[in-house]
Amino acid sequence: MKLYHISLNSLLRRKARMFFLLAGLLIAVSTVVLLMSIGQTMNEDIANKLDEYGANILIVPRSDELSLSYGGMSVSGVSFDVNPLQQSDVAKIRQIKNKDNIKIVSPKLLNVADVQQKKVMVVGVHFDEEITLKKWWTIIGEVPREEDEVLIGVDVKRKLQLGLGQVILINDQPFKVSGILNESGSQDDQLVFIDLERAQKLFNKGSEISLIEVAALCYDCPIEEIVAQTSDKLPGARVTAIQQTIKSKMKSIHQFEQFSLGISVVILFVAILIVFTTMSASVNERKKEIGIFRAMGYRQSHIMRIILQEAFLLSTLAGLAGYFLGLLVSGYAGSLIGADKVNVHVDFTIMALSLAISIVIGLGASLYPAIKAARLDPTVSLQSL
Amino acid sequence: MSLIQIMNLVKNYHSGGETVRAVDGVSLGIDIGEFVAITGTSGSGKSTLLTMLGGLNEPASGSIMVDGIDIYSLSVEQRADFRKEYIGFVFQAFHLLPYLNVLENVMIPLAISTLGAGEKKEKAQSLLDKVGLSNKALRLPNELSGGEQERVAIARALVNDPPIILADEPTGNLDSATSRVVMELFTRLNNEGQTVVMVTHDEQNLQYASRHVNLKDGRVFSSHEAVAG
Ligand SMILES: Nc1ncnc2c1ncn2[C@@H]1O[C@H](COP(=O)(O)OP(=O)(O)O)[C@@H](O)[C@H]1O
Ligand SMILES: [Mg+2]
Repeated sequence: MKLYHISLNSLLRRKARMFFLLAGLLIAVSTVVLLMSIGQTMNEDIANKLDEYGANILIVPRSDELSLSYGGMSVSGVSFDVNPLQQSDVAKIRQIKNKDNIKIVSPKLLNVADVQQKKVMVVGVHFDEEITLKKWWTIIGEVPREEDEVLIGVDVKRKLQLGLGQVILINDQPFKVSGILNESGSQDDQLVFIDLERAQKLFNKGSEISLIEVAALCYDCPIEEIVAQTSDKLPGARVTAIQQTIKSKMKSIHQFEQFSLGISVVILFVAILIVFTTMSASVNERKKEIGIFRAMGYRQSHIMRIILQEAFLLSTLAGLAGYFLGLLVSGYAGSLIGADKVNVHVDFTIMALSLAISIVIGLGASLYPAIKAARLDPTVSLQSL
Repeated sequence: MSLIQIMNLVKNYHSGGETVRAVDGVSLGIDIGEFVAITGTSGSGKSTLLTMLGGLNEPASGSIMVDGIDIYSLSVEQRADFRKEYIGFVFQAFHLLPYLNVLENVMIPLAISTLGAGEKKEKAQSLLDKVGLSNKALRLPNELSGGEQERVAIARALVNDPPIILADEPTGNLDSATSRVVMELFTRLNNEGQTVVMVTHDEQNLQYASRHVNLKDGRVFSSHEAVAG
């Protein structure tokens, strides 16, 4: 027999009281886990959706000229390049401090060209990047793979009455229509997309580019930060963040997190009170028993160990059970708040955290009752002699 | 030299602005192998003296030497270790833990010792044997009679092999037939060399003791060898 036998048996004996303590801790821990899981699910949700929003940073040359417009953004340097961007600038973006947050860098060359005797905006792109950037694109036919293949917007197809596989002339050079973009409702419908390097040759632009679209996957770091870092790397460029609906969504997540934090603090405080009062009452109830232990030669430190071991056992149990209860409930709650995919999976960080919270509260709030128990005067406690 | 040497012991209790002098200048020597019965009317200071002897109750002045150790010069934790080494307490109210079975109750003093689990069990078993309760090792205290519970308490007091047994009215809650069984157990232990100091106000019990110490108002009123019974 060891001290923990005494702790364990005494817990089993005082089931009702200890159940109260256990329930208090358990509800507290599971509520905190619930709030944390919902917050996490919301964040993951956003992270998953983020790449569906396309580019969120636009880089164009610095210029005083009035300019053509692209995607609702003003794009300078299409007609008069004051200080055009270069192909080499693309690599520099990949070198900023938050480079891990940069997901897609898509350089573009914009030119107005004669296509079948009509003026059309021709955009040189890297197709692989453009496709990942514009997740919403649906294409009839194929994405161009050869230099002399083009992808055309649906309006271009209609106005010029083109079809798949047809050969067209752009500034008198032959290209084959390999794919047609389905109606996207954006300016893309009125564009002709060709390979970037081919466009540079076609329009004699060397390694110039007109603009760079960047998708930064950054749902919890400020996008302004990335904009500033990119500006530093590209002093000749104008870097702007594109406002997105995701921003307001993120704001509501942050508000939810603040709210959760507040609620958690209150709940944990209540848990501390419950543990403290239950343990104090339990010590009071056991005065005589503690007197017996002391008479048998138990040190004050032994008494503290018995009490704290009980607190430890209970709070470990409450921490684990609270974690799984919280996880279970968050499954239902997540769908209520409209998270697309409710993510009920065992997260060892949160599990460890809830265990830690429970044990810290359990032991912390029992410390004073344990010290009081250890310092009880054994003669007073034994005074039913 | 005596095993226990009590010198000029004084204990005051303060309650409600009043001071009660529970023990008032007691000096007493007890030798190894003695069976001392402490008697006196209720409130004469018997229990106070006994708990002080067991290192549980700090005196206002005076000293207690046990085996050459001035026990109240020790720190609180050292005094706990002293109790573990030297003292076995037996209480009138038995004071068994209701959530532990008989064997476990006997093992309580061993829970803080470094003995192996097997040794602890063996030790407790042999003491249950000694008090005649080995067949009830796995019962809970509330399934035993008063006399049986007291014998468990005695086994528990003996489990550490303490040189001194301190018993405060061990038969106070028992009928006379059961009392006799318990007293005969104490006598047997004493005959094996165990030093026993027992508080009692049962005249019947005096015949078992080798010395009678009578307290009155916290002082030793009389102390004499018993006529061999
Ligand atoms: N913890 C205490 N606080 C206050 N007074 C006490 C305390 N314990 C004992 N007394 C008083 O000290 C005196 C001696 O008590 P006690 O040693 O219990 O006597 P006995 O055991 O002989 O009946 C009594 O007057 C009692 O009321
Ligand atoms: Mg008494």
